[in-house]
Amino acid sequence: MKTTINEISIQSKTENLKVIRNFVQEIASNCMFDSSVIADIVLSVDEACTNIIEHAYSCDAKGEIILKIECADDKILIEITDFGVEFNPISVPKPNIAQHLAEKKSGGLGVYIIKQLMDEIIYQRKDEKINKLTLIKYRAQIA
Amino acid sequence: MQDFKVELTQKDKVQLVKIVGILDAHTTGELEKYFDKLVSEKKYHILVNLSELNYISSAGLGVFMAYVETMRENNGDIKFAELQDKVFHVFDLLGFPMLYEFYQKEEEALKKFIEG
Repeated sequence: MKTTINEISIQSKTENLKVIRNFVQEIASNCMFDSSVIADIVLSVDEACTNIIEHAYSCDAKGEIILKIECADDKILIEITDFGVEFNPISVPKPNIAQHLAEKKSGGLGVYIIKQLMDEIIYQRKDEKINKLTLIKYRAQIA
Repeated sequence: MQDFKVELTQKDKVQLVKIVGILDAHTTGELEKYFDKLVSEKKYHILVNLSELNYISSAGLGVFMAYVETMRENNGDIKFAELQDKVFHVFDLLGFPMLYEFYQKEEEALKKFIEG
């Protein structure tokens, strides 16, 4: 399979999460991943972009999110770029759900989902203004 | 709102909350308003039917986390029924089955609520 790259740029508002999910769904489908794996990839990207909207851009809709998806023989790679404040999801600790309930807390779960569903997560802060998060899912090996 | 709808039905002491469509960071605020209203009306026995929920992200799960303790403090609960497999998968990832009751059928959950 030839490596293909698709890219979109969108404004950082939650109503665009649907656009993001549809984009990822379409590319991952063309990339011939199983539907359950595609659902996991779509959810992971939704969680990552929700964090960018809420934390990196503090819900300011003027921010930009760039999504680049690379489909290769052995994997799909999703690179998510934003220009908001530094936010390293990898540093977020595993949530204690029972404690969340007791404290009536609702957030802080997205990163845990991404960590469970994706094979690799790479975060880079560049030039003190760019956040780049790369999510990788490898294709299941056929025996 | 497109892609998201909540239907409320009262059955005995149980408030049925049917959530239709997509529950993500965009639609979660709308669901919170419904839960705020239920709490203000002292409705603490909540049965959430998700048979027509097609997608949920952690933002959606967060609503159920934020309100369940209030319901339980008032001798109520939030229970779930009729989830599609793909939606249950997300609840399962976060360990919800250890902390909430899930039912295949709405009637079962209703019976559990009413008979205690």
